[in-house]
Amino acid sequence: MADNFKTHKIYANYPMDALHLRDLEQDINNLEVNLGDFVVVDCAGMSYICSSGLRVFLTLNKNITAKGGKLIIRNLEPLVKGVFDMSGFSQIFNIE
Amino acid sequence: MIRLDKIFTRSFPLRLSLVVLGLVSLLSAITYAVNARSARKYVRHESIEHAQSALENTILRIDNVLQSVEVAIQNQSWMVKENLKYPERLYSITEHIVQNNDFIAGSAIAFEPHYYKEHGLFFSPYSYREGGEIKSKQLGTRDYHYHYMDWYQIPRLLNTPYWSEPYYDEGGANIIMTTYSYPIYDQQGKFIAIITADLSLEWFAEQVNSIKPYPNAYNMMIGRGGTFLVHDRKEQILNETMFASARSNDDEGLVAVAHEMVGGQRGMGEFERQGKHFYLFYAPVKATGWSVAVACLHSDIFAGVESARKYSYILGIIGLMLMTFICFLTIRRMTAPLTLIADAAMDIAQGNLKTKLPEISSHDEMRTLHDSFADMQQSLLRYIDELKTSTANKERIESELRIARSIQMGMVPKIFPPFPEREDIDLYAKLRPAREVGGDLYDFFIEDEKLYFIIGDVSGKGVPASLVMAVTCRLFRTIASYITTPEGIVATLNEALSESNESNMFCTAFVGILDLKSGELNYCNAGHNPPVVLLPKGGATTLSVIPNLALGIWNGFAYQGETYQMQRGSMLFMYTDGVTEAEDVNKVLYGDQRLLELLEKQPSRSPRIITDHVLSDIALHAKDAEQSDDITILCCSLDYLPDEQDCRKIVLHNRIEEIGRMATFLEEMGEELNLSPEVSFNIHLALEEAVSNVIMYAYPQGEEHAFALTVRHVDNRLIFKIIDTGKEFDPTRQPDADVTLSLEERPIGGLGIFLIRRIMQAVEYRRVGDKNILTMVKVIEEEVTEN
Repeated sequence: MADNFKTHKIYANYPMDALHLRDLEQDINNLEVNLGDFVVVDCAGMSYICSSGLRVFLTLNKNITAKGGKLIIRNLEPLVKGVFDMSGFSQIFNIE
Repeated sequence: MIRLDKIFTRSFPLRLSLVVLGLVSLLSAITYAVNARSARKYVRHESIEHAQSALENTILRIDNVLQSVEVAIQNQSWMVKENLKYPERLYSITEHIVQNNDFIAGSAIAFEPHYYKEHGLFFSPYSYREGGEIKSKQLGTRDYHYHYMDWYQIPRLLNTPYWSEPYYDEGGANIIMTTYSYPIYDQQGKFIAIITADLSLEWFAEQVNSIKPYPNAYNMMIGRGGTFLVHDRKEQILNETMFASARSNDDEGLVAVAHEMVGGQRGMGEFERQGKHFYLFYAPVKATGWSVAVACLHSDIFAGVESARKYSYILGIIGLMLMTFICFLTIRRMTAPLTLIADAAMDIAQGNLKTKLPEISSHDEMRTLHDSFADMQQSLLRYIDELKTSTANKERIESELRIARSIQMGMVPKIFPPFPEREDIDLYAKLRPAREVGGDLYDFFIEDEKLYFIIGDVSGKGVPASLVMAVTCRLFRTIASYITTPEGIVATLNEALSESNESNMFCTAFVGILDLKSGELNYCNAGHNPPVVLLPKGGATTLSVIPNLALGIWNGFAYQGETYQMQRGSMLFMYTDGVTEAEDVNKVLYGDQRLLELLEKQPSRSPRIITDHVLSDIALHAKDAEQSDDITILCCSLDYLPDEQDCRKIVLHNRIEEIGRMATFLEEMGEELNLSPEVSFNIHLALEEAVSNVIMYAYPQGEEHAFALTVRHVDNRLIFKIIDTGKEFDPTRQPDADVTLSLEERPIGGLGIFLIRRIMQAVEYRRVGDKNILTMVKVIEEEVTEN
C-alpha cells in the first residue's frame, strides 16, 4: 500500500518575492498529485517571503487537498517562519 | 372547523347562560335526588301495604272458609251422635255436608274397627262430588285401610280436631286434598268415630292465585313442613320443599324466609330469580299452619316511581333548555350595547375618532359605560388636535434647526486635508454638536506663510450658543485679516463681544498664529482648555498657558500672548471641554488624564488618525450615554519639508523587476541605519506589499510610469511615503484578511494590507490632487541599533 503513495519533493531555495513567485508556481503545476500523496516543499534557502508567496502556498494547499494529497512545509528560515506566524499560517499548515 | 371552546370564551351571554344552566341543573339535581328518595320510600311503603293487604284479604277468605268447614263438621257431629243407632242414616249426613258446602269435595264418618258388628272391620259412609252429582259409598276396603291414615290417627290420639297435610287421595276423590277431622265420642266419652271434610287443594290454589297485586306477581303456599302446596310450577307441588328449592338456588335469604313462614310468622323478604329482583310477602293460615306468600317483581312495585322519574327527567331537561335559551336571549339583549360599544371602540382605535357611539336607552351600567366612552372620545379628539398642532410646530422647529445646522456647519472649514498642496502642514478638525446646533467653533487659514487658527466654546448649548458662535466665527475672520498678533485678535474679539452682551454669554477661545517657516507659535488663551503638544519622538505634553479671562465678560481686559517653538514632526492637539467632560452612563468624566495618556501612546503624527482615535476612545468611554456637550477637536501637525536632510528617495517604474531595485535600496538603508535583520526583513516585506500593489494595479497595463518612494528617519521613527499618480486607491480601506479562519475558508487575498498593518505602527492614505500618498511609520528601537 505505502508504495502506491508518492512523495513529491520541491526545493524552494530562493526568496519568495514578486520576482520568484512563478518559479514555485511552475514547479507546482508540473506535479501530478494523487490520492494519498505527500508534497514536501523544502524551504531551506528561502530568505524571504512576501504575501503573494503566502498566497502561492495557500493555493498550493487547496489544490493538493482537493486531490486528496497532503502538503508539508520543511526547513523554514526563522524570519520566514516569523511571517508564517504573523499571518496565522503556522497554525493551518503542516510545518516541520 | 369551528372551535367550540372559542365560541364559549368569546360569547359572554352564552357563557353566562351556561353558568346559570350549570347552577340550576345542580340545584335541580339535588332537589330531585332528595324528592326521589322520599318518593321512593313512600312508594315502597305503599306497595308493601298494598301487597300485604291483598295477602291478608286472601288469608281472611281462606280462614273464613276453613272456619265455616269446621263449624259445619262440628254441627254435624251432633247429628252423628243422635243417629248412632241407625247406621244407614249416616249416609244422609255426609251427603248433607257435601251438598251444603260448596268448598267440601267429600265427607266421611269413619268408625272404630268393628263398631257395628254387622259391618265388620270397616264402617265409614263417604259422600263426594263427581261430575256435578253427589255420590256416596263405603270408604274402608282391604286396599284402603283408613284406620292407619293420618287424618284418622292424629285426631284420635290427640283428642283434638285436625287439618291434615295435603295428600293425594287414592281411596276417595282421587285428588290432592286436605282433610279436616273431628273426633266423636259416645255418652261415656269413649272415642267412636272421626267425621271428616275434604277440601280440594285446587280450591286453595284458586284462592291463593287470585292474589294479584301486580301484573307479574306469582303466589305460593307451603305446608307445615315447607312443602309447596301451591306453586306456579305444578310439578313442584307436594314434590319439593321451599327449603330445598331455596338451597338449590344458593339463596340463604330465602331459606331464612322459609323458616319464618314455616314458623307461622308474617313479613316480607327479598330474593333473586332468573336475574330479577322479587319481594316476597307472606302470612300464615292459622287453622292449618300453612303459609301463603306472594312474590312481586321489584320493577312492578316501583314501576310508578320509574315512570314518574322518566317524566320528571324529560320535563326537567326541557325546562332547563328552555330556561337556558330564555336566559341567553335575555342576557344577550341586555349586553347587546357592550358589543356595539366594543365595535365603536375598535373603530376609534383604528383612527375613526368621530365614530358615532350606539344609542343606549337604559339608565344602568351600560349608560355609564356609554357616557365614559363618549367622554373619552371627546378627550381623544381634543388631544389629537393638540398633538397635531404641537407636532406641526415641532416639525417646523426641527426643520429650522436642520437648516440652522447646515448653516453652522458651513461656517467652519470642513474639507480635509485643507492644504493638499503643502507637505509641511496638515490639519484636521471635527465638530460634533450635542444638539442640532452648538456653541463650539474653530477656524483657520494661511496668510503670508502663517497659519491663523482659533478654537472656541460659547457658554451654553443649542440655539443661543450657536448665534454667539456664528458671530465669533465671523469676527475672527474679519479681525484676523488686519491684526497679526493673537493677543490683539483676542482683545478685539473680546471688545466686540462684550459690547451689547445683554444675555451675559461668554466664549472661551484659543487663538494661535504659527509661522510655517520657523515653526514659531504665537498664541493667546482666553479661558480655554490648554492644547496638548505631541512631540516628534513620541510622548505628549500639555502646553503651558496664561489663564486669561474668557471673551465677552469684561470689556477692556488686558490679554497676554505667549510663544512656543514648535519642532517639525510635532503636533498641536486642541479640543473643547466636551472631550474631557464626556460622560458615561454613570456620569464618570472622560478626563484630562485619559486624553493625555492616549495621546502619549500615539505613534502616528497624522491629524486625521489621532482625531479619529480620540473620538472612538470617547465613544468607548461613553457607550450608550447621550452626548451632553458639544465636542470639537482641532489638530494640526507641522511636518518636515520635502527637501530636508535625512530623506532618502528612489524613483521606481511600474515593472515587477523594480522590486529587486527597491530591495537593494532598502538593504543599503538598513545597513546605514544598522537595523536588525528582523526589522530589515519586515520593512522589506511591508514595502514590497505596498510597492508591488502600485506596480500591478495603479496604472493601465502597457503604460510606463514612474513613482517615488521616500524614507525619512526622524528620531526613532522611519516614515515611508509612496507617492504615485495612478488611479485613486486607498489600501487602508481594504478589509484585513481574517487570520483565524481555517485553511479551507480562507480567501486568497487581503493579506498584503494585513501584513503592512502588523509591521508598521501607523498607515495613512491621502489623495492630494492627482496623487496617492501612502504614509507608513515604523518605530525602530534605538537600543537595538546602539548595541
